[in-house]
Amino acid sequence: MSEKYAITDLLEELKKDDSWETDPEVRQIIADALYIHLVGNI
Amino acid sequence: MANETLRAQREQNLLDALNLKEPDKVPIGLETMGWPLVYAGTDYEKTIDNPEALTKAYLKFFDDVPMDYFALNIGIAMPLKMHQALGSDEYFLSHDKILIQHNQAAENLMRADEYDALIDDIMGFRAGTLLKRRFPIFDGPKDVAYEALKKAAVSLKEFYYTNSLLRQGILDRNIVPLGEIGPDGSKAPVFYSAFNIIFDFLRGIKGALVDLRRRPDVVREAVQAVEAARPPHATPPEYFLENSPLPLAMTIYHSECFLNPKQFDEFYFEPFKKQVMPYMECGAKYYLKGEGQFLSTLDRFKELPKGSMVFMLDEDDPFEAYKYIKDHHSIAAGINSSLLSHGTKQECIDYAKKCFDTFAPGGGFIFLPNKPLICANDAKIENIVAVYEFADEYGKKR
Repeated sequence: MSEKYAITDLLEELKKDDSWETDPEVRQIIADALYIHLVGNI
Repeated sequence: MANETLRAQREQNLLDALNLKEPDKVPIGLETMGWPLVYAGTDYEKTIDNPEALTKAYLKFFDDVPMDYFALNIGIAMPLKMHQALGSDEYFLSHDKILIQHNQAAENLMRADEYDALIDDIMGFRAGTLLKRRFPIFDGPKDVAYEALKKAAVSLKEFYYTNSLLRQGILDRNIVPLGEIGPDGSKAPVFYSAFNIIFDFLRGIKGALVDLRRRPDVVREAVQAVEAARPPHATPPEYFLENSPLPLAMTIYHSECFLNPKQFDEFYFEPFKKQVMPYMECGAKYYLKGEGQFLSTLDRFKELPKGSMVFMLDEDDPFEAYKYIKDHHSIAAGINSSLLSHGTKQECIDYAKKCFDTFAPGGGFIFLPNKPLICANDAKIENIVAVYEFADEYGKKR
């Protein structure tokens, strides 16, 4: 059975992962923008 | 190169026009997405992986053709490769290689029996059930989903980089972007109805309209839940007015042309007034981007402060709409998209001249095509060049 996770868990990992982007501020901005693109806002 | 004086003149002309005064020159603007690439003889498919080449091609149009303002968002509309990285076909590149098309018919949206779950926890429902339905990769193994998300992040970063180059290029040409607060590019307040959230992102066009007919009470409850969950706009009215040389906020019609008058008042106009009045009382104006036909709704806006609205029309006849707008609000019109794509140069100029002669006296007129240029065939190049050169000269105060 696969591990349960939420999109927010993955985005938190993305913010800490410097393998795709070395600038932590950019990682934060892109992760937040991903949430808006994938989930939306109100 | 950036020229603060020219930019300030253009802002002042916009402000004068929207304050129902005759500006020194009627501002001419454009709403577009990928079409400028057509002008440069290329397309999105050829340039998507080269932001610098895309930017150079895109901006050629703005080097050659006079332009005072850019309506709405600058740049490429959707992060296509972000969606592709996640295995989604919600968006695809159309056959013209210019339009990034929304494929709502193929979207796995919220079901009619899920309103209770939505109302119970709006964002929880969207981030859980709905996300996994739209992007099945998030219903699979975590490591696979994470690798795909990482690729999506890289694509999204490049998408933003491209759009930042395009925006800077527009600013460097002293073209005023509507809907921004000051030079940092932050967005002006936007009113987007709660029903449009259901219509656009949750149930889709068909589902939302069927629900509204069959189960209006549950739709009403969902709309109220969305409205209750909304935070106030991050920019308070006083800050917006103090920091925006052109305090122009935004609102958009999407579902509105499908609503009957009672539904329009309930789902759009009453919540619109509630949100925007504090801004309008401070002097803000709202740009309404119209979609569809909405002549029957225009009369209502007369109860709002004079000069507080500018209407971008879509399908309606601007000369008919002007009867409702004249002397009270502003009209953004001037050339019809069917003429741009199928007419002759002279037909385009004749139509634009009629618009200037009718709408420009007394102010309250900014020049804009009735539809954004989004597809390759949306305008013949010779027509658009001719009509913008005409508008740039004819709109000067004599």
